[in-house]
Amino acid sequence: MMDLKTLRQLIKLMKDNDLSELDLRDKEEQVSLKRGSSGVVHQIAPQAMPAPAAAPAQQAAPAAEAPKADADDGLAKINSPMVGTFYAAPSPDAEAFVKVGTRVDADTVVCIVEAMKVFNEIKAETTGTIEKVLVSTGQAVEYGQALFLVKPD
Amino acid sequence: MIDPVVLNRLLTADGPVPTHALGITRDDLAALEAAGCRLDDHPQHGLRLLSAGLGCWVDYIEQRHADRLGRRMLVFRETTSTQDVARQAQVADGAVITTDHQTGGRGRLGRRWVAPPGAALLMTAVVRHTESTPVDRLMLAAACAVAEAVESLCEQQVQIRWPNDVLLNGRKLAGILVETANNLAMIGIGLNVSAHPADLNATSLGAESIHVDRLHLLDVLLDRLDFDVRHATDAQLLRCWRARSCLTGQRVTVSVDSRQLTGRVIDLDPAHGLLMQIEQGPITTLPAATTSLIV
Repeated sequence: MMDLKTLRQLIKLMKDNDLSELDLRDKEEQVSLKRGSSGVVHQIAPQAMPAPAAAPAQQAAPAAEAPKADADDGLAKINSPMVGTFYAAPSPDAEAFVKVGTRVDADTVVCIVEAMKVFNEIKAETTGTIEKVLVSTGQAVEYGQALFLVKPD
Repeated sequence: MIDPVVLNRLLTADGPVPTHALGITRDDLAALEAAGCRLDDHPQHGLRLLSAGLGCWVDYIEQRHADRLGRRMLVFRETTSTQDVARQAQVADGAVITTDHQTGGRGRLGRRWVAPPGAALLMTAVVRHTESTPVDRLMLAAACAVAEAVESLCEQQVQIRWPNDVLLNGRKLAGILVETANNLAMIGIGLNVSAHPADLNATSLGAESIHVDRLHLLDVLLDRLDFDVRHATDAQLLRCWRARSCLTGQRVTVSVDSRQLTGRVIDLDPAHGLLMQIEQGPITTLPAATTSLIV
């Protein structure tokens, strides 16, 4: 799984060795990094091969695009049961209900969706580990929209 | 968004309103339901509003209470307890949290508080907690506020059973729980509006033929609570309590720090607790936080 930390290490490796291009592949994913005068450009593309229970390609940085179909592979979704506004934490100053890596069970409150001035605490309704948070606080969400990806036990 | 014309028509209607007459759309229905309204949508007779949702007038309540308790309202459809939310959300002085349904409501000393969804006014008012507002005084202020708010809606006199019960016709109508964290006090109030637990010596406003909308009750209660917590003098609170206390003069047994004491209730010290003349003993002050009534 490619995370931000690994990516940073790779970029450092490129800088240290003054490499302008780097192409890395393994079973599940491929990373291409290019370094120019304007900064670092990187690209992540999953390999075209089905891996049912494999870890997904992680979104590495805002600029990176990871195809959806693979990101969802083998993961459960927590969907919004209603139209409303998403809140990751009970208040702006408070900590988020869950983060990537948080273990959840059916009754764990993962977020709040506000509709018509009423806060609706959304429960995970599944057991596993939060793999990805798909929306951010203040964002409008639709009925059935996926909010989190959960890696089942 | 909720169409105020639709809501007002439903609120003021004597019976079911034909949906076509109102021009109520599917979106209107969805908005009302999202705000917590309970609706009876009968295919022939039309639409009837069973109870207005707490979300309907949040803006109005916030606006009306802009300079006092209730300036920030948080409404939850369901939560473990409004006390938990207050603690977790790190809300500020003046915030009020309310919900239709608590899955883990609690009373003093770890007791449970149970109410069917939508049947009770469940709220936590968050106020600044200083040395001049000890927990005992906050409990007293909250009990007085509940008593006065209920009395303003009906002809009957409400009783206060120290430290945290408010009774109507001798049965429990409301309970109060005060908890503190950092510099904030969380005043939790549970008041049975349209239904009450059957297995306890409890009652509700509805059971006593007092029919009131929860939002109206909340509005009235916030006014009283703000006054009693922030402005009332000890003498005013004491006068309110003395006129309604059902324990004064009674012989009671209490448990304090795992000791049992029996005596006669004399009066209340607003800041420190109940004054009791212990049998063959001195006059003792019982703090609300650690005392429970046995008889």
